[in-house]
Amino acid sequence: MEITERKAGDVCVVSISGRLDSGTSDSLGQRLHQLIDRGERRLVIDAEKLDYISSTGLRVLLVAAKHLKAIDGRIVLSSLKPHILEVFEIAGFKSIFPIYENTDQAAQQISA
Amino acid sequence: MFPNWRIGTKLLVLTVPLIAAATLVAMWTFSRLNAERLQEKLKDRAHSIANQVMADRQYYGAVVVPRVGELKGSLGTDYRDVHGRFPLPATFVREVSEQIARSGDGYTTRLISPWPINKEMGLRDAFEREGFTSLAHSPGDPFVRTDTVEGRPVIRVLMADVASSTSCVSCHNAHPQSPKHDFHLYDVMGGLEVIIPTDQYLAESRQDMAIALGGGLFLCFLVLGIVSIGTQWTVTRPLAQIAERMAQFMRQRPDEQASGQTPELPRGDEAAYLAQSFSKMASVIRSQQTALQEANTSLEQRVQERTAELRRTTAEKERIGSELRIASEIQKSILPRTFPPFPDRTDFEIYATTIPALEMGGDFYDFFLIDDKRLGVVIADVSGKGVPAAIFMAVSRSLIKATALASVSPSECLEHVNRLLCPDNESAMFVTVFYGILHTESGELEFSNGGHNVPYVIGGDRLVPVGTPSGMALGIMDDVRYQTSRFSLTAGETLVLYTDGVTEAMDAQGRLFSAPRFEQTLYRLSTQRPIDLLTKVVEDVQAFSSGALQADDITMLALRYRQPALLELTLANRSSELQRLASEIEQFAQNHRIPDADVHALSLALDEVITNTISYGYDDQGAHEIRVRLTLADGRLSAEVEDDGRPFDPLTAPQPDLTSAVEDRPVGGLGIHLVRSLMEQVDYRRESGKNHLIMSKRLSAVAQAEMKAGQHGNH
Repeated sequence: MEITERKAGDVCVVSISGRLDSGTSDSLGQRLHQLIDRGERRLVIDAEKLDYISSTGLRVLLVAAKHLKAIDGRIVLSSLKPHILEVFEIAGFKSIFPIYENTDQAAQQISA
Repeated sequence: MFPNWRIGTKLLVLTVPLIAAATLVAMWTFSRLNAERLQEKLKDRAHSIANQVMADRQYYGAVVVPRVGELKGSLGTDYRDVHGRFPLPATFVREVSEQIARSGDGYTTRLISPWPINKEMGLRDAFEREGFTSLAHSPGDPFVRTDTVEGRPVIRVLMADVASSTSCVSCHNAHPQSPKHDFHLYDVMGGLEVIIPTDQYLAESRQDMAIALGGGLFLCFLVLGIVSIGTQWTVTRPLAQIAERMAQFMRQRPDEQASGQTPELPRGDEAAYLAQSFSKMASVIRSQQTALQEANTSLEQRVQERTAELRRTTAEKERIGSELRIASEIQKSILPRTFPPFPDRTDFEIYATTIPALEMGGDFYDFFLIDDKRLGVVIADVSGKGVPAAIFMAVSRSLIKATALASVSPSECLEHVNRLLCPDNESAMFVTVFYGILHTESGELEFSNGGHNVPYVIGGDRLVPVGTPSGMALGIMDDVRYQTSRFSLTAGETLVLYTDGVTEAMDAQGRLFSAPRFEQTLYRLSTQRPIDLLTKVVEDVQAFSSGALQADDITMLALRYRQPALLELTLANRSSELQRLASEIEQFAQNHRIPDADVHALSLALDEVITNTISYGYDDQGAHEIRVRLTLADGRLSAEVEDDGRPFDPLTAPQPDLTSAVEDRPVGGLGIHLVRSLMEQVDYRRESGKNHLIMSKRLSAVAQAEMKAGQHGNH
């Protein structure tokens, strides 16, 4: 799994590639925690290159969402592959994470 | 008509009026004849008297009277008082008549005339007047009548007195006292009446008649009496005796009759003959009655015996019937009938069916795992039907299975079973057997055929007989050698075993379903799963033979060989192993062109299950093995995970909260939820201290195709 981030205005776009499973989720969790610590309040998770997500990965995202919610921040998703989207649907995460077709659209929506 | 009268009485009653009537008729006839004859006799007598008198007068008139004139005498009525006087002819007649009257016979004669000189001679009554009228017409015929004079029956005869001489005519014509003076010669001048009383003659006649009748009647009654007594002796009494004997015979009971005494019977006539006949008849009746009674008794006894026997037989039959039913049930129940028989085996699919004929037959099929990698399949047909066949079948099946499980080759198995069946086979039964062993990893079929119908392998677009007709049926000769042959099944092919009940099923016209028709059916259905295949073949056979009685068991077994388990992994209980699992699955998916979506679902489900086990499954920190076995067969992707962690059935995990807002959404519990959502079927069992979780799903393309087919089917 690889994680990259870029700033687009006040929005931080976090791109994840590869697998998000029990072996890799912890590092994403730590990374997101750092970003929030550093003051990021607007996060776009770019899943365009995400091939796989397990419940562990879902949990990391949920924890980050709770965190941001508590401090009035926002987190959205973009560019999910169909089978990833299906997992989100099964897990009932579509009601928690707004999902957009691409990062620009997502960034635009959560930009202050 | 004659209610209860005896024959004698009846004879009398019939005879007496007859005699009386005859007597009356005789009397009447006799009296009439007698009266007529008497009258005729008396008439003749009167005639002759009259003739006598008239002859006297004639003589007197002709001889005496002329002499009187010669002698100067005279004629007058007073001749007694005057000398020289002579009686007139009429006076002469009167005198003669008086003489006759005095004779005491009661006869009276009188000379009368309508023209009397002497007034005493005038006509006095109707008879005399009628008589003269009659005589005037025919003077020659005397006038005769019966009459009653002075209370006595009489016969009166009046004869004409004709003027026979001139002196008579002249005298009368000249007589001063004559009322008529013109008489001529031969004129009727008067008549002589003769009266004869008839009563004494009639009385005499009646007396005679009475005597005659009395004698006749007496004779009649005498004859009657004799006949009556004779009848009594010859008819009535014998008849009465016979009647009495008959009555007695009827009163007696048969046993008394049999020993009954024979009373004296009359001899010699019809009654005797009748009595003899009756005697014979009675003895015949007696013997027949005795025979009948004996027959009756024995018949009754036989009926009782037969009834009892029937009752026993019925009870026996019912008992046998219910035992047969039970036997039939047992026979059926000993054949494996749970399908799928090995639910966790995805490398083959098996289905078998038997439709028993009305009478218990001896078909059977069998299948069993010899070990993990070898499946035995058997089909067999025992000769004959009924209980013996069923027993022979049960024995054969047990022997084959027991021998087969000892891991011998098919030919060794048949040889061994044959040797066991032969010695005790007194009823000379035999069984045709096909026994095959499928090596599930390679798809190789080892088989041996003991005289059974050659099976088929179908699949793709081929239909191939498995081996050739060979081998002898088991149970005939104990020294028979059998061959083991081999046939290679490729994945997706189906081995079809059957008995001749299929190919020899008959339709109403007696035509066979036949092997070619069976082959066509199999070829048409070659891609079907075993259960569908056999169900449709049975439908075909039954449609063919609709209306005809099923003569034989219809038994089939279909074994479809599928690809073996495609991926078997043994993982350590470390998270890093998940990576290996993922890449193995990826490789597997690539090798078998499994669509990404399906690989993802399976991979994720396995990830969740194994992660769960690694994270929470063990009480210790030690190393454990987790076995994963992945199969793909018939469009179905399956995975079995076996671990020796603490017992955990993920299916009991509660449903997670999927709807709360982010701040309230619990973290966790999603893994199991994902597994259950992604897989179509998840089964858990704990076995030998290990958790077994079996998950499967159809490939999405297959699922879609099936959904389409289902929709079509619904239209």
